Amino acid sequence: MQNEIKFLGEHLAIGNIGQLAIVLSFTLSILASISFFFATKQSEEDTSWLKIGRTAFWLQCISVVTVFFSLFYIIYHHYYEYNYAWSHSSNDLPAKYMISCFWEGQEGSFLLWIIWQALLGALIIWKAPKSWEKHVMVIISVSQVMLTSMILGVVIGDVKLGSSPFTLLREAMLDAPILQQTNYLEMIKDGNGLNPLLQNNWMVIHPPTLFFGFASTLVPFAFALAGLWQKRYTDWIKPALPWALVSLSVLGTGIVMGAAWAYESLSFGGYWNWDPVENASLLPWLIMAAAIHAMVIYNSTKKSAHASIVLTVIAFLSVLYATFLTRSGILGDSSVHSFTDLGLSGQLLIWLVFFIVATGYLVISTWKSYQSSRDADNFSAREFWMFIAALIFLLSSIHIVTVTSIPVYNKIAVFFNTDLKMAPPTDVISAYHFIQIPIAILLALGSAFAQYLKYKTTGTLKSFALKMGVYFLISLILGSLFFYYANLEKLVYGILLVSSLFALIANGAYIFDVLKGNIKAAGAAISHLGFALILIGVIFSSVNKTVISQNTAMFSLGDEKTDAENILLEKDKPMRMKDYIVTYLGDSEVVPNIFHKVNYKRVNEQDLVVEEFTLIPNTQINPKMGNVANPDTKHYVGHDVFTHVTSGPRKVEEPNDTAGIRDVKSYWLLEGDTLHSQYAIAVFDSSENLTMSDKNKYNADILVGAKFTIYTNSGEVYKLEPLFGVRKNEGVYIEDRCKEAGVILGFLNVDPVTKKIEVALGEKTPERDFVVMKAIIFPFINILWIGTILLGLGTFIAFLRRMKLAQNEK
Amino acid sequence: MKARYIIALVFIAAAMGAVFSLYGKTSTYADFQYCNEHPGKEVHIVGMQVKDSATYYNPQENPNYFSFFIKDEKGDIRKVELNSTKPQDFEKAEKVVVIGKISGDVFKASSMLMKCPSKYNKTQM
Repeated sequence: MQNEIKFLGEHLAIGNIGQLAIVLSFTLSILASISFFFATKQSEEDTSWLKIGRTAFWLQCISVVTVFFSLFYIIYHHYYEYNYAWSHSSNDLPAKYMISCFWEGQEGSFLLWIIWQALLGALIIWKAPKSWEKHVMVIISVSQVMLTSMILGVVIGDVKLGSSPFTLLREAMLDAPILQQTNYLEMIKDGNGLNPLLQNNWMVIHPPTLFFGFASTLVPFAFALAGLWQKRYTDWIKPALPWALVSLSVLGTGIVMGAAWAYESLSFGGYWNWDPVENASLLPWLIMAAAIHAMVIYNSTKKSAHASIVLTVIAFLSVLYATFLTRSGILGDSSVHSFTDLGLSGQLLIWLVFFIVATGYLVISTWKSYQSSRDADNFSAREFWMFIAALIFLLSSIHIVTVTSIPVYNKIAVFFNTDLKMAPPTDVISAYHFIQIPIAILLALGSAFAQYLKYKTTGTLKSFALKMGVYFLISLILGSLFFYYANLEKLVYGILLVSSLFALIANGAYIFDVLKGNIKAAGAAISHLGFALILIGVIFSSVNKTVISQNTAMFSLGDEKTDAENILLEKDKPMRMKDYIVTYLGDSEVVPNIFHKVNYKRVNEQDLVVEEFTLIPNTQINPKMGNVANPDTKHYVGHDVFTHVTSGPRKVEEPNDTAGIRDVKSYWLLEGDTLHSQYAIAVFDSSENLTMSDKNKYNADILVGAKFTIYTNSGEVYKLEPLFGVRKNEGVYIEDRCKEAGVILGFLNVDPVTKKIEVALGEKTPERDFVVMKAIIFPFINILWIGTILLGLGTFIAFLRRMKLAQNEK
Repeated sequence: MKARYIIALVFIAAAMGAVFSLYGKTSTYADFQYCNEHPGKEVHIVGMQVKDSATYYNPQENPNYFSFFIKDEKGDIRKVELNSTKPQDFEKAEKVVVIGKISGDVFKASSMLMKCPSKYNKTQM
């Protein structure tokens, strides 16, 4: 009967268009899957099914784009009758962040993924070799059916299939009675707003990049399955390799952008914090890296055919698993950043199981149908060590998935009537490092020497051993020096440093010595160089990270484990922190932000100021979601200085607040007379007749000011000037106060004959504005960023080369 | 051929090592009663903020001390002391996960996770 109610002011047309487009894209994906499937049964000449499949897929692409623009239109026009717009946007949201609304919600981020997948499918139809198109497109279309079903929002019987971004607010919140009134929209003037943490430039580009990375793992997966299906068990590797490299490159870039955001906003406490959501994005990267090593081995030696298939398949399945982890709500108690369940976890699980079972069956049933080269394994062969590298990447991901999945074990235990109550390790960082640092050492060592070996056999190892010996010796000496001077604390960091330097030097030398600077062939070497730099940057920036605000003797903290990293800075009171003299200068406000000015002076050993800068961290006042602090950073080539205000500004004091004022007594004073209070003395300097404009301001006929100088017990000097005036036979009293000195002065009367004035003195406990902040120095962070750029670049160069090779094959 | 089997064995051993390295390091989701029975053991406690109860944060006295009350899943209410600042959006959090151990009547938390419903979930009107 609800349908009979006419709700006022709703814009239903755009939502209907969007919803129709979702249903269309779902249906067209099914049609495309079926058509491409029948096309695989047809001969090369008969393209009738193929044509239908292509048309369905193209129309599906158009539908998906329509969905996107419909939702954007709704957000842009603040149509809060739609739950998505109400939940994720607000009137004051800057236009550049409107696009970020798409990934704050589950539905929007699925949509983003769908769009990328549609684009990838279109690229396959357009560019891929025709002998692969039909089979690969079946798999891509099925995957598109899966994703579009997640935003379908259609109820069939008791089952809700997907969650639509076009759900109306009054449908989403049936328990809110005001939404059932016909004029409810008049009461909803503003949306809930976008999480302030997402209002950051990195957050505009990080999610789309990462989702493209996720989506792109589908392509090598589809090629692998198409290869098994067509009994072209190893032919798929060559056309799939460039796609795998694109995937690795984009995934890596996306992860780094997320790390850069986490670093800048300090919302994870640094660039990498082993949060389950971060791990979920790292897993596919690690497995894809393993898969690429296996595929490259196959290309050169015909070995590792099985490993290529298994790893490529797992890379894609890991994306599905990661999606399940982050979107089912299962991480609720172990990650701050996961989504809560939208009631989609069952549907996600069904898809996950479907893909695991279907591909598992295909991989296992064809296992014996093809063979890798049976050449004997040779320790001096490059492929041997590349294969080891693939295994180590896999090992790394096995460990990460084991720890990240702890909440899953609890859920599984429930089915066996056991309440496991297993929680992540209390010191989760060291639990990861325990395994991941040795893995990083092995990867660094391997990436240093493996390229100097030849495929199949290297023959005499004399010159190889000599070169490696020299490079390793240089790394050992440099590493030991750094270890000693940078005070790296633990031996394991020293070993990691030496290994990374070894990888850096050996790969750098490889580019010039072996490749003679031929950049086109240097994809792997540049990637490995970048990897080594990342490790070096990580070692220095994390081991030598110093919280300089920690160094305070202000408070006795007892014997508590002191992660007491926050310091209270009173306004205008300089405080020494390591090499810096830090002074809080006060706040300024531009709604909704409060900017805290913190001045840094760097001093040398003679206490002379050699450098000065002011950082302005801010606090965004957000009554709906809680205040959010944004740190500010001074970037140097060698290190970064962070300032993070960790406790928000206090409530602004009412100007006429008289609470706590004690001992209001009045005195008659002559110029030069002194008043004594508990914390300060006040000297009456002179009185003055004030100007016309001041009189107008207070609407007074006569207005006199009394100038005072306040000297506090701690030696500070302030000026105060209370006012006294007459307005139509009534007194006008404008008091003046100095809260730092705890003094309030009121000017009560003036005797024109004796020139004496009557002054009231109020006292208050002195108080100052302050901020509670954290100051952190991250050394050598730029090495890390340069490393990530080289890693992405190297992967991209490798992609260009492999694409050329694949095209020559055609 | 032999080398392959050795590699496979080493890999399986390493993988099992990586998995079982977790053994003994995992913590437990517990309640205050469990804490009392296992003093000194570090646990995770999932609790609801006790609204209208006293939270204490006076940065002028100590910027790294914040105390509040939570109710665990069984309904036990305890004071929690956190060795850090009061999180800016603390009032918005309903559910908190505190990690630490009990000491007398007080739960000493070394860290805390907050679940703010408004961040990733729909709020009630």
